[in-house]
Amino acid sequence: MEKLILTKVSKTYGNGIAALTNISLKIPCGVFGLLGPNGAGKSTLMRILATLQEPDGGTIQLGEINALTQKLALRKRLGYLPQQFGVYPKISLETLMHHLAILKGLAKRKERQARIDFLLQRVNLYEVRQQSLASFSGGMKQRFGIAQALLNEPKLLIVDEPTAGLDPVERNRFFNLLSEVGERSIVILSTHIVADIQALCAGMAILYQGRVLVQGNPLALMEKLKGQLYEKKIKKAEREQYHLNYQVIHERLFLGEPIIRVLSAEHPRNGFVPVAANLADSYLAQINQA
Amino acid sequence: MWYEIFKFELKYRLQEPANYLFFLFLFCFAMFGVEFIFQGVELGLVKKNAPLVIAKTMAAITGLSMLIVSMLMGFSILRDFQYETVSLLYANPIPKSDFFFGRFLGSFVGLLFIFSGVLLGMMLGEHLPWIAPSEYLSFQLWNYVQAFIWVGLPILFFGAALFFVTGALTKNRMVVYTQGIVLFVLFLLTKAISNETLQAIFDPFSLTTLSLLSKDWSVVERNNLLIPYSGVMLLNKLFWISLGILVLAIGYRQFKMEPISEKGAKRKIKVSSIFKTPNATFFQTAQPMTLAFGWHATIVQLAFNTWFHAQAILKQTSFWAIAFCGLLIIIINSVNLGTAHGVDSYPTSYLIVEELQEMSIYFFIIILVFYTAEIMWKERTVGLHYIYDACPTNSLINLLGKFLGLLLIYIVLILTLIASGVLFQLLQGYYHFELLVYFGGFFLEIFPYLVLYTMLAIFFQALLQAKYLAVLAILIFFVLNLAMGLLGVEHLLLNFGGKALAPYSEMNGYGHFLIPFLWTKLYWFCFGLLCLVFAAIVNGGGLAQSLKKRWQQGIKELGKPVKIFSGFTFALFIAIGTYLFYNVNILNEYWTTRDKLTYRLAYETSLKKYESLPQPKITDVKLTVALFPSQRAYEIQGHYRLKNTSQIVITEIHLQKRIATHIKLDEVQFDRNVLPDRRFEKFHYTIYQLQEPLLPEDTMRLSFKQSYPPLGFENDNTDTDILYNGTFFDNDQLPSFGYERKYELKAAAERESFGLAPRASLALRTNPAALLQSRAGSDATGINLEMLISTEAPQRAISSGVLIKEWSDEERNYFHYKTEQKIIHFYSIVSAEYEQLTARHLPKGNAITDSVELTIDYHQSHDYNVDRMLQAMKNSLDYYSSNFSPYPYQQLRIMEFPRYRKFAQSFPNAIPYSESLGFILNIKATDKVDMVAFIVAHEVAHQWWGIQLEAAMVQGRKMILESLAQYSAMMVLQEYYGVAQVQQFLEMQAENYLEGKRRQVETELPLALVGNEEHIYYARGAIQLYALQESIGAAKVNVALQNFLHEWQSFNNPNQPERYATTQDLINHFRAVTPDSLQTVITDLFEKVVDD
Repeated sequence: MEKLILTKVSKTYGNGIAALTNISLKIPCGVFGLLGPNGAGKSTLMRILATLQEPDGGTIQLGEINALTQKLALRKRLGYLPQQFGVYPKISLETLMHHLAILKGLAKRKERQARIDFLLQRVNLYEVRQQSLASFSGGMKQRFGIAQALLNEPKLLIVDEPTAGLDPVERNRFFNLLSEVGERSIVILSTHIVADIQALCAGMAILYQGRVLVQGNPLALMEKLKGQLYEKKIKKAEREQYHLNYQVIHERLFLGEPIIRVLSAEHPRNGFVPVAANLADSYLAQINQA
Repeated sequence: MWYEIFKFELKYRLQEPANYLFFLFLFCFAMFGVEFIFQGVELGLVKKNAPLVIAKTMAAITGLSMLIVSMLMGFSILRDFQYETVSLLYANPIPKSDFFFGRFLGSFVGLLFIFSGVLLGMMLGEHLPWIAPSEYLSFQLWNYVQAFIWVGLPILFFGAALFFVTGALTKNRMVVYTQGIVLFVLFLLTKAISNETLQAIFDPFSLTTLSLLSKDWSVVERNNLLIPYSGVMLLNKLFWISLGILVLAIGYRQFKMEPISEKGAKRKIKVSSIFKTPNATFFQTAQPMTLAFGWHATIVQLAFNTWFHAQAILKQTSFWAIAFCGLLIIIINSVNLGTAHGVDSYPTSYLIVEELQEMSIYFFIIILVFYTAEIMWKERTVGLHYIYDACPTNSLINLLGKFLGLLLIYIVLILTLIASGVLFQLLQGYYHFELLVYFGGFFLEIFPYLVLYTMLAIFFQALLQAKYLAVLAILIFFVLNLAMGLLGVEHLLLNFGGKALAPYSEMNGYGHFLIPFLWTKLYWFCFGLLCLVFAAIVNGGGLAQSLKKRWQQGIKELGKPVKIFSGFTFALFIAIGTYLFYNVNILNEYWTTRDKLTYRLAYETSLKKYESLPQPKITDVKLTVALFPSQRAYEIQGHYRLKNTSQIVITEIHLQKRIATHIKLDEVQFDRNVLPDRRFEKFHYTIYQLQEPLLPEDTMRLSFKQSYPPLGFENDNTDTDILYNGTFFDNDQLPSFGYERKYELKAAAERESFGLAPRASLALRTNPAALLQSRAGSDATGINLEMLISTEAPQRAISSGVLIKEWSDEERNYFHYKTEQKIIHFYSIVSAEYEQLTARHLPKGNAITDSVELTIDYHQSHDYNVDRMLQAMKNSLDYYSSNFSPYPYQQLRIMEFPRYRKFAQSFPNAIPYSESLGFILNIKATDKVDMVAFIVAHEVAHQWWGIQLEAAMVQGRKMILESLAQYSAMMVLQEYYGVAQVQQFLEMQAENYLEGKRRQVETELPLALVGNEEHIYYARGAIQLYALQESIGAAKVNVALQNFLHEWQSFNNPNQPERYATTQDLINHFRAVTPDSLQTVITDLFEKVVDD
């Protein structure tokens, strides 16, 4: 199976802001999560992978294809669902699907029709295929987005923050679909929501300020924190003091009182209790340590 | 609060660079505004900065700039929806009134800043260094400011209110684009109002208002009066300002500060809000499919893209709104079809096509510019561009799809236009549809321009990556390209799109104009293709980057096939360019206007000294003319007999060959030895020293061979003399003697720019030299003509004289003409494929043996009026022969020639008559003047006035030639067609006269001293002579004319005076038949200017 290999991909914008620095990743078949806070450079990386932007340095290889010089070849294997997109008013869903399908190389009418019908049924938009896209809800639009990205049976599917605006049930169905696609293709999903990764990804990388902090299997990442994570319920007035004395990676409110999680090589005592790490903890720990 | 909103709006506008561009555009436009708006209008003595002229120009510029107003005002509220700031904004506690009016005022004040460009530009316009001070009054600030405030401002206010409100209520971008056009349609609709006052009140741009209120103004008033604050102007302004306020009020009531329009929310959506539970895994149920990227796929992509983009436009209501408005404009304007003197023509296809073309080009340009912008920004506007850019499609294919989609739209519109044209013909009861003419008119003449400009518009959009900047760029390019000719860049290799095709003639089709036209289009089409490829290269890449980066990236992505394609196109472009250059510059001589002017200047300065040199007169002309219409060539063998009619011994013959490329004059032989002096060869002017001088009253012979084999094509393919079908030229084509005034620079402005004095106006009636001439530099006093013409079958060749023999031989037709008496040295040669109508008629005043053979040679489908024409010939001959003198020739012919030239002209017993001038007039109504008959009568009258009786080259000459012909024709009209027609004709003449008087530059002279002013010798001449006839009776006038002819006719006149006739001689004859009591009438009619 082909792998997507990024080597030292860098991108600096005209205003001097380094969006990506030396990104090197090896991504096999399956759903791969790209996790990072807003502004980490996820979308830039996704656009570079989707051949929409050129990096300043580094190489990207999909099997035999050099994604930077053989863009057209890559695009033939590519499915892309951007973070934001609009639709034409007055154009029906089916017309737009045909239009995009043809652009993606589905030149034979019958096959195209079959493919479109199939996909629309899969995303449950078949009933509304004659309607104008302008009338669609956010979730329906997103479903159209994934359907169009799958038109050409992509070897590489890039979905940029796809879950925004989807309700929990829809998100679940959406993940099912992605996971199915992941059985045969490389699916790269970017998100800032840890739960998305947890639900879906066998591999992942954490992107922060344009750098890859860590990559690997989510379970392995969680494993790293084993025996180092402690939790305590504190008073609001004590917060500052705790933040000074401990490496606090996470703070949440429970019934109005803060609960903090700290990272510590040995048991901090002082009322802390050890807890099992979840992926969010690993993520936050990484970001905190960066 | 409203002030905050106002301030914010204004600040926003000041930051927007496009607004400065609009300002600049208006400023530049206004600088040349007067020239542009008043082009082709003779201002006469009215100055170019007279208040009325300023006001009209401002009104017109404002009207034409309504699109700018609509863009500026329309987006004011719509902007929030576009940038999706509505929710943020409307959630604030802003009172609706503060928001609505604050925004309006802010935008309006911004608009005024931008439109102050018109005011400033116009003021600067009169201070430009190259203007002629004589055309301007001294600068008066208030003239401009008053016009701006009182004329321009209310128009802007109404436009601003209307566009602001529609933009705010519809929240639709295309409506904003369209509404500027809608207002323009409204303006045109007001032109259909027949009541002048109402029309003036309802004209939104107050142009008709200004015309109406100044209708009776004298020149002095026009130069001095400010635009009044009363009358129709006041009503007009009140009406439109109140309407503006009303619109604002309605808009305010209807406007809701809601981020979502209810219309959208109400729409029912079939919802299936969740994914179906998968009952099988994804790929198990998937059908097998193949992805193709070969040629076949490319073609499918292109075809589908084309259709996709076209139907997207076709689905827009706004598109149909524009189309409907466009059709409306075109149809309103087409109602008056090809009228001549108030008479409609038959709605022949080419006339309909021309009417449709005239307006549709502007309408197409608007569609082209806006829809190109829309289509190029389509994905980016809605935010689908990432999805597109990630598709494995060649960006050239995407671009070509858009391009072809636009072309498809034009085709739909053109077909709609054609259909409405045919419908119009149908409704008029005209069933001779020539679809080929329709297709030619649109697909040959208009469509190529649309194709080329669309390519260019796409190019600008891709290059600039800024929608409205590119729109502006293409509009500026359009204007610059038009102006290039004026700036001296005239070569078809440099003038984008090439030149217009000559009008379609039913006789000659597109003639020889078509081939060079097509080559030029092909040349520019290659250029356009290169533009498209360039656009595809720099348009790819999605995210905005520097042009250089986009170029590099695009080249990389498009790869080899595109390189090969553009290399091939470029090679073709160069090859066709070379071919064009070879034709224009090598096979032919390329002359810029400047070259032509300097040549004329050099001609005049080098040769003027020979103007009064005595030269022999031609007394006999014998020609053997071979015409080759299919090659547009001829060969002429000529023999002249020359006579020295002067008192001086002639030692040199100055032979002037016609100055034109490819005309060759060989085998020039005299009956004695000559020494040619070719000093002036540059001017095709040779001086032959006679070894044996020509003594007074002596004669000599000259023979020559002139040939014309045209090669390739020229830059300006304007020759209409020799054609595939419908050749018509006169003896001007042949060699003449001595200096030719016709080659001088004519226009006073041109002469002045070269430091030449204006050409002398007509000499006084006492000038002895001028009295001896009947035309400028005349080469003859009267000739015998014998001509053998041959032409290609089935054409007929026609000239003056009696046709003594005709025969055919080897695909050629031969015609032998010979005059039986002397004629003036003025004859034509005509050749075309004709139908013929003949009749024999004995004019009432002729001797019983002198019947006349009448012939009308006409184009096969132009038989509508030939019977009428024949009848008019008979009537005219009857009236003139019985009232003036017998008709002296045995034949009288009318020959139709193609409509490139629009006149009829009388030669001895032959009248070439333009296709456009009556052959297709629709004369059914009996209450209208029968213009066909009138024109025939007028031309037949010239067989007396001009052909038998020549007038001296002095003031009043045209009264004898033209006014008398007008009078004669009116008498025919009165005698055979009824007084009512004469009355109607007189009314038209009165209008023409006033119209001409308004445009007249110099002070008017009395009819008897008339120079070259048509409105005097045609219109006033007709009126005054008819008045004389009413006053002393037609019989007396005719007796006077009879006597006048008898005394002054050039031929068959034993007592012919030494000089030619003047109006003094004519008036003397009038006075002789007029009782003493009415003598003052003659003075008043002919020798005075009555200022009314």
